[in-house]
Amino acid sequence: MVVDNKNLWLYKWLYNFFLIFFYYVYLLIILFLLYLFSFLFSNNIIINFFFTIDNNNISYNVINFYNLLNIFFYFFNIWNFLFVYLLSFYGVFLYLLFFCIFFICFLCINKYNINFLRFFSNFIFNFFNLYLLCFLLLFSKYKYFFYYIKLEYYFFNLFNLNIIFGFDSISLLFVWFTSFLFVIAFLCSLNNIKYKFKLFIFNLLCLKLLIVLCFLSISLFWFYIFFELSLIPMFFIIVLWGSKVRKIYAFYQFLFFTLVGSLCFFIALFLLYINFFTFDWLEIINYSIINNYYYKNYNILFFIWLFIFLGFSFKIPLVPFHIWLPEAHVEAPTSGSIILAGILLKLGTYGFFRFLLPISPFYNYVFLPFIYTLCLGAIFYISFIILLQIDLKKIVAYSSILHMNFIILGLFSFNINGILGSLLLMISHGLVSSGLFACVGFLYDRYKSRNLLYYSGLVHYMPIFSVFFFIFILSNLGFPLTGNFISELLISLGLVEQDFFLVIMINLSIFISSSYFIWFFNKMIFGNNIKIYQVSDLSEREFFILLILFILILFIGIRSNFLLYFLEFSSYFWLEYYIY
Amino acid sequence: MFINYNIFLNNIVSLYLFLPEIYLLVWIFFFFWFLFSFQNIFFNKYLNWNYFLCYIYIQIFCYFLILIFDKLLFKNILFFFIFYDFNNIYDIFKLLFIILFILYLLIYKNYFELRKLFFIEPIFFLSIIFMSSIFICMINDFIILYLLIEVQNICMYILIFFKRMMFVSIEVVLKYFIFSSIIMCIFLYGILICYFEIGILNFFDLELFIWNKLLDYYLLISIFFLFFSLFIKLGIFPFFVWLVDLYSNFILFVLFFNFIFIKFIYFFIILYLFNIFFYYMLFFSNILLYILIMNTFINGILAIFQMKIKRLFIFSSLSNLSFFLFIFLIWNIDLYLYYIYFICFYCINIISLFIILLLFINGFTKIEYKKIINFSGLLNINFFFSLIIITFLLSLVGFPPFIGFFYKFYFFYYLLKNYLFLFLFFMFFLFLLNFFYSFRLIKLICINKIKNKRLYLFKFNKFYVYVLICFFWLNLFFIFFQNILLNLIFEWIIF
Repeated sequence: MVVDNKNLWLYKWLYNFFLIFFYYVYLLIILFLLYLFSFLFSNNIIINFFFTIDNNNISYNVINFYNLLNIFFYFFNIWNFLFVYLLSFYGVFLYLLFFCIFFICFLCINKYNINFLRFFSNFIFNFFNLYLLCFLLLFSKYKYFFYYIKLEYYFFNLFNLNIIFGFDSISLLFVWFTSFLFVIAFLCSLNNIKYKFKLFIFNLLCLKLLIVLCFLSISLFWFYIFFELSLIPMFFIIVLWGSKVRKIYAFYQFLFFTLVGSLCFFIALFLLYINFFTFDWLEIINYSIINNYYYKNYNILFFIWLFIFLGFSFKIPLVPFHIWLPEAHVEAPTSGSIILAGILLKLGTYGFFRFLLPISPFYNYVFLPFIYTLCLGAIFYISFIILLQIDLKKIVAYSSILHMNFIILGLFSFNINGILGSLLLMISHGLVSSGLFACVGFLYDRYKSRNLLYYSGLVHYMPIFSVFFFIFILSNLGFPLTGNFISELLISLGLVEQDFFLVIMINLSIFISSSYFIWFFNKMIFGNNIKIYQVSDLSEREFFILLILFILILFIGIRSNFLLYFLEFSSYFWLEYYIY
Repeated sequence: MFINYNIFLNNIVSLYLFLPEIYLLVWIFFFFWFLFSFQNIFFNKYLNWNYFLCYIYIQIFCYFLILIFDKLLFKNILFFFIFYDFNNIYDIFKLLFIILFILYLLIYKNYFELRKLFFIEPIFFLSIIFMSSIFICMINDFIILYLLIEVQNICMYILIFFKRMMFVSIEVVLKYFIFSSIIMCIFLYGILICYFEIGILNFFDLELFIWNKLLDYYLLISIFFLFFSLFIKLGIFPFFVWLVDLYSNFILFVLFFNFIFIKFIYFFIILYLFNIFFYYMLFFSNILLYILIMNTFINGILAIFQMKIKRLFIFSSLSNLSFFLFIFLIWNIDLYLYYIYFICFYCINIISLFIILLLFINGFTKIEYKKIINFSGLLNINFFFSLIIITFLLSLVGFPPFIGFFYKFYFFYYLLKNYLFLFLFFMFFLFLLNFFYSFRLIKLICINKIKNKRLYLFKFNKFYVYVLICFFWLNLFFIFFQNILLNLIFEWIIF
């Protein structure tokens, strides 16, 4: 029997309400204080706002912050200035500042006072979730910018290692999504993890910060550092709270596959530096567009393209390099696998979108048939492999690889429909896979087994669970009214322009995997229940987790315009200006 | 290289003409004063440490004065033929030796007080080695260089022989004596060939000779022998087996001294000779490349299979020596920058690893600390200490954003700049290979259950912990002050 802490339920709701009501007042006060504080920073910061579009003409405004009066000349509209400038700059720094403060407070808590630890860590995760949600909603009005923040300190003069944050609506959405999924990962691990609870949350917080910084950083160097550092907390999560002895083997695979990938990316980074002498990504692309760099140096660009492709393909993972993924998923705890499938894999596809596609349009088209065949082969191969699996987590893990291949196909359609679909699929797949992993985790907490052959007739004891499980499986197949359906539709719409035959083949492969998923659901939920012993249905906490995911999946499925409008401009802009 | 041609004119007028001689007299005076005033020290086993340390600190202070008045002191006529400063990088080495020596003494004092070993011998010999190393920084002659190295070797024999009662130490001393004498023979043979061909032993004249003449095959042979002997001494690839066996049987404080101090002297000498024979070193660059690959490869593999802590650290440090060799493949002024990176990396990592070892010795008896298994389950006992160990292991391998990463960063940068793609391909896999041994230790610390119950009684020496924490922050936030540090030193060198 699993029993929840009743007090926690109350705290959660109370704090959510408090945060929602007092958030805006709180934010405005701190913004005002930091506006005054900004004069201290003014020497070292250069902020560029560019890509404001007026009648299809791109205007490139560069504002030095050396003289504050310049900004008032540029922005006669004070309202615009306050919201766009201050929020973009201090929104990021406020996030980091709050994070540091809460992190230090968290470290001061006694590790034996578990109730307070739970309460406070819940507060942290929910706070950042709501903070970023408010941030996102405020920015929905000003999504037509690419916010670009550059810190030029003397420390980083050598090799131009300046810290550069840049974000548009796409990366901001992913930042929010990470904070959201960490809330779910935290809630899943509440009763599950008994061993070193404080250290676990310490790791989760570190990982969260690193992934957020990954999405925000435009400097390739800092992206690489955050990308690679995220291995260490993941190492602890898999190894310390993993299930079996095989976890060491699994982690070694995870480590060495990702290290090979990151070393490839490292080489590409230097090849770029030798040619462009910066790590600033936007500067590199703008320079290459202005000087027609694509056509002059296609020999070097070949290697750069290939190494970036290899570097991210280990992380996504594409098919020859996918071996680590099922192993790592099986051995990780539920919250670890939620983070892995939900966000860490998306870092790879996000990297494809940001760093691979704009570098050389020529090689995008050269490698296009190769990528199509690779993805199509992978989709068929993995949909057949799923048929052989018995481990519940492995099934979900393999299906996540399948969806990753869909995302890549969408990105390589070079079409607004395909790219929007793939971006939407990243988020909806994150929700669905985390829901499925959570379901498997709840079963594992009760029965201590992930073997498919063990389960039958769960509906008799766990009706609510079986309903949720059914919904998540349907949404994984791409059933209408779910996010996956719309995103797959958009991807296939985008791919029709490139290759009609490909779309038919992909839809055929969906049929294969879906047939297995329905059989597997039927075997688990229905039938006799002689073998297994009786357990309680979902507790309040577990119901809450699955309900949020369910609501969000339905929301994306029905009101997908809400997200699509948000993503539309910046993805369209990235496509038109950089990828073509 | 910058040579001040107005040395003679400046110094004839100067009042500081006889300052070095005065300094030497003062030094001798202090020496004898201490010797006679504290006679009891020599006969009493339980001596007062503060007198000795005071003596050494005065000595160090005198050296520091030399460093400050360097330009004035050693540019007179008398000393020109023996000692001369070519470049400002040698000032940095002097400073480095002084800092390292002070740090070593502080650690050493704590170690001996804990062990209750109050002996006088080591302090004397350490101070003599220190003096000779300072003089090596100002060297201008082959024979003087040879003699100073020999002085160091003699002191080292006695230091190794510190524990006379142990059977192992006798064997170690004999082996070390034989090997180092052979090495010095080879070194002397290289000098002889040089003298046979050219008839010059002064570096200043030798450099002028090299600038004027194109190529001399006899000189090439002599350079080969010189570098050959120095590489054996450092334990670079084909000749590392003798050294590992010896090092694993050394007493820990001598081993620590060897790694922290004596290796730097050899680094200095190699860099110095490299600067002089810059043109001739082109012929060896191709061979050095293969040595470099094999050194990382074999030491990396051997480090994986080690069961003793000492041996693992030795192998890992030997594999890191190949990064030192990489300076021979850089033909720019960037060499110095890379070199400073190497020194920062080596200092921080090796010192901190040895302090970790020393902390472990205080926790255990003699036999137990030798095995790696004693690290197992450290995470359950002391989280922050294990975190520090993990960061050092990761930085040793080159994980971002620690100091080892920047090292790797420069390495790849120069490789790609010079289009050494095949070499890059090899190094790509060798970096991965190095991850194995560090993650093996990390796995022991994190996962395995506690084997040794003595870990619960683990007591930290405060001084060691302060040093460790200091190095930990240096390691972690090297990103944020690397540019200040490097620009300062780099400008100093060029100036």
